[in-house]
Amino acid sequence: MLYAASGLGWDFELYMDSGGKPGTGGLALGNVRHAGHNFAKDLRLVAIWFSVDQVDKAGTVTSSKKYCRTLSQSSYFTPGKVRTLEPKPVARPGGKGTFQYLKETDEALNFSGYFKDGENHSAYGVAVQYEAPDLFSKLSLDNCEFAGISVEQIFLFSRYANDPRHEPSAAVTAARFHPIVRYKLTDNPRFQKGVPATRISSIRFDYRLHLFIDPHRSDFETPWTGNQAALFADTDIGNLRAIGRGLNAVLNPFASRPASGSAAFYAVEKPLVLEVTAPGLIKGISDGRDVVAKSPPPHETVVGWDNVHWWGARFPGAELISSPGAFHAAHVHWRWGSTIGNITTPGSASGPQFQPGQPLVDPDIPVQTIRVAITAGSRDPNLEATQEAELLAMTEANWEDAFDKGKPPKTIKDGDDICLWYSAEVHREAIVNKDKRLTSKTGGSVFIHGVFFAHDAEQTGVFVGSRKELYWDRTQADIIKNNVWFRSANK
Amino acid sequence: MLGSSRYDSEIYLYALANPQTFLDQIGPIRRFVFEAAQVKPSDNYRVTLSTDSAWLEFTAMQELWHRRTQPALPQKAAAQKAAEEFLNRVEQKCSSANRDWPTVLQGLALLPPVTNLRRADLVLVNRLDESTPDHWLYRAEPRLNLDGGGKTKAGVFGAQVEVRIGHMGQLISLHSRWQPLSGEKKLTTLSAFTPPAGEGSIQGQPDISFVLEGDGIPQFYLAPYYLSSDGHDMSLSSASPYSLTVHMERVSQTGSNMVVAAAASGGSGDYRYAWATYQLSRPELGFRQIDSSDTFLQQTTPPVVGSAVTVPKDAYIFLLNVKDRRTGAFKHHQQQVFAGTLDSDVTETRSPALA
Repeated sequence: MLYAASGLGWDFELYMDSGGKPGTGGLALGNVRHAGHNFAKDLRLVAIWFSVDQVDKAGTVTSSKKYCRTLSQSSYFTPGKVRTLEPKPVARPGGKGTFQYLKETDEALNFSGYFKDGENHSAYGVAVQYEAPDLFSKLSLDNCEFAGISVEQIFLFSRYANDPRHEPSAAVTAARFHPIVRYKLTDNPRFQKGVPATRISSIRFDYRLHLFIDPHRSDFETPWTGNQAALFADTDIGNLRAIGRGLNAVLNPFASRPASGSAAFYAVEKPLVLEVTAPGLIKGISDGRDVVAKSPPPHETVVGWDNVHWWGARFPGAELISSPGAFHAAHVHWRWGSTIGNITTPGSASGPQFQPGQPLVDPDIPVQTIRVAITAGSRDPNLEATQEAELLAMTEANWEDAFDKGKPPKTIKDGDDICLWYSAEVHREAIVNKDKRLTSKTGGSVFIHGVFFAHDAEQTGVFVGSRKELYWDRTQADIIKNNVWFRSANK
Repeated sequence: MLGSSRYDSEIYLYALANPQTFLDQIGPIRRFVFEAAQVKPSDNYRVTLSTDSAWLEFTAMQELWHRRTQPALPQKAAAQKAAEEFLNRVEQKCSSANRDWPTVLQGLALLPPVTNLRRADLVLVNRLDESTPDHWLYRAEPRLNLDGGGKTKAGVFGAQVEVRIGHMGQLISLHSRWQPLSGEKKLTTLSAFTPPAGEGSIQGQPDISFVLEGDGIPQFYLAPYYLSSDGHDMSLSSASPYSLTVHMERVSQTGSNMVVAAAASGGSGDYRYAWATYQLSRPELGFRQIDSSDTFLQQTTPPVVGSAVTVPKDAYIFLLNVKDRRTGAFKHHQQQVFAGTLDSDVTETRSPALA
């Protein structure tokens, strides 16, 4: 059953069975648009991976294993019906004589004139609750501390606006999409302490976001198709990665930094030259070198990227989207560089609301490893996957293995039907920055930073960033020469 | 920039109409839009006004992204002509120029002044399978007179009018990101441009633009702002005493709570604030007003009244209403603020005065 929804300018198709329940694997949205502009061909969660440790009675890990589940009955998840969230309208207080009204009364300050307490005025949404109360016994996990898990998918769509601010510049208007997955592990009442047990060491949520932004052409003679994407890591000042990058500049004096638009970036690859798998966060922080118990390769000493930008391809030689800016593009930011707070002041509309230097993750589950991959569409033949086997074919226990299968990455620089794969792995705990212990609670929400979709014409005048290709500090030639899938911000 | 005249230092503010006034007349407005589109009303077309801002949408449902066969598209000049003529017809039909325009809407217009539109784009958009072009997309930025003499026009950042022209020059959609004006205007002074401190050297002269905050955002009037860039970052800063900006940040985090502070600028410094929040991951909880806040004074010239709230540590969208008590200038501001995950043992990171 196909369900077409419209709210706040968004249109999409949602696949449900005749009972109003989602298809195999959970919510899957197709042909997602805002105000007539294409945003995505397909958006969905592919799978959930549970990393499980067997521990002896002293708590020492004796073995580890990973289990893959999809949000479907065959994976022991019972879905509820799809619910929709309808935002209430925003009222407008006041009467005739706007300026007089504002000056003479304080009524406009009062939020009760616009919103009702306890009501949703912010987003249109679709949501489904899944229950797997005895998942871990069905997986035959002995003496597991948890009995099962509740999962809720809440896909939210916001209005098109400049609020809440999307960029530090306060100069990009956009609508937001939040494919939130909220979960809660439930305690096992039969769990026994002081004996060998099973522990959930991490839960990984693998998404496929087949974004598609309309490529525009100026005339009939310059055909152009596909999308391009870029990875950016913002500049940090005073920390290890900034110092390291400074040293690199000294050691490589001939690596000329692009003059415009790159100063805000620690690293940039715009547009992506080859398919890529890339780190975003490593156990809650940006620099894997600061994680005390090193992550397994390839993440142990890498610096993560901070954001992905995605736009309709431009023909070779044409100006790209502006950066910063990107007025017709999808933006995915999970972190802003620490200098964002330094370059903004009370005198401007900008601000350090972007948690400079810190990840934009649920504070209840801060120990997150975020990974992204951008692949050519030909690697994604199951666009409208409806069978569990099709979903399972899109994911691997070692996340990068789903993409890097021994064949070199394809060239995507000039545009392709590219696909974004996003993964958020929530770890139980980590020690970072020498002695800071980060711990995750037994529940929280992933992907709360969302994706924002701007579809304005490119701005003109001085009010734009660079519209050129940007590569720093790895050059385009380096990328082609190295010809590897895994590319971090520093290696 | 402004030319030399007696209006050099005086610029307009434009009051926005209450969208509900237009929503109450959706019936006749639909009829007029169909007339302007020169099509018979049917389920094949969608005509809507956004409930919170009266943004107009017209879509030919069977054409936009659902056309089965390859379209025969007009040449570029013809597409532009079709788009602009349609906008002129909608403007004429949906304003006081139409003698049947509802009495309650007399003096109000649904679209921005069409003669002032600045064409920003006219591009071909591909079909979904990307085999051939599907339609032309015309995009234009509304502009308004900036100075009292009408010699200078300024764009409206956040506003846009889009028209799509498809098979045989058919109109297949119109999206107007524009909240109608009430007709009330006010002259105020142009503030001098002050480069945002801490940024690099500003490149070139800053632009001036009115700012429309967006759909569903409380806003009473359009005010001008300076738009500047230092080459790698962009800024919006105040261009009149009514063009307020807000700086908000989490200033401290201790135990289970965090403190978020805000201060406006651009006005007299004598501000009043009101706070609310919602949580993205829990939309069912809805909006929550925050009844208790603390006021502080920033010892700047002039002194600025700021406001701070204490909330449990979490990830929020904060909403803030600010009013300048001397002028009545108003600003609504929204911003995401997350509890820090790496500084849980930090007690006080910055003073509430945003020093």
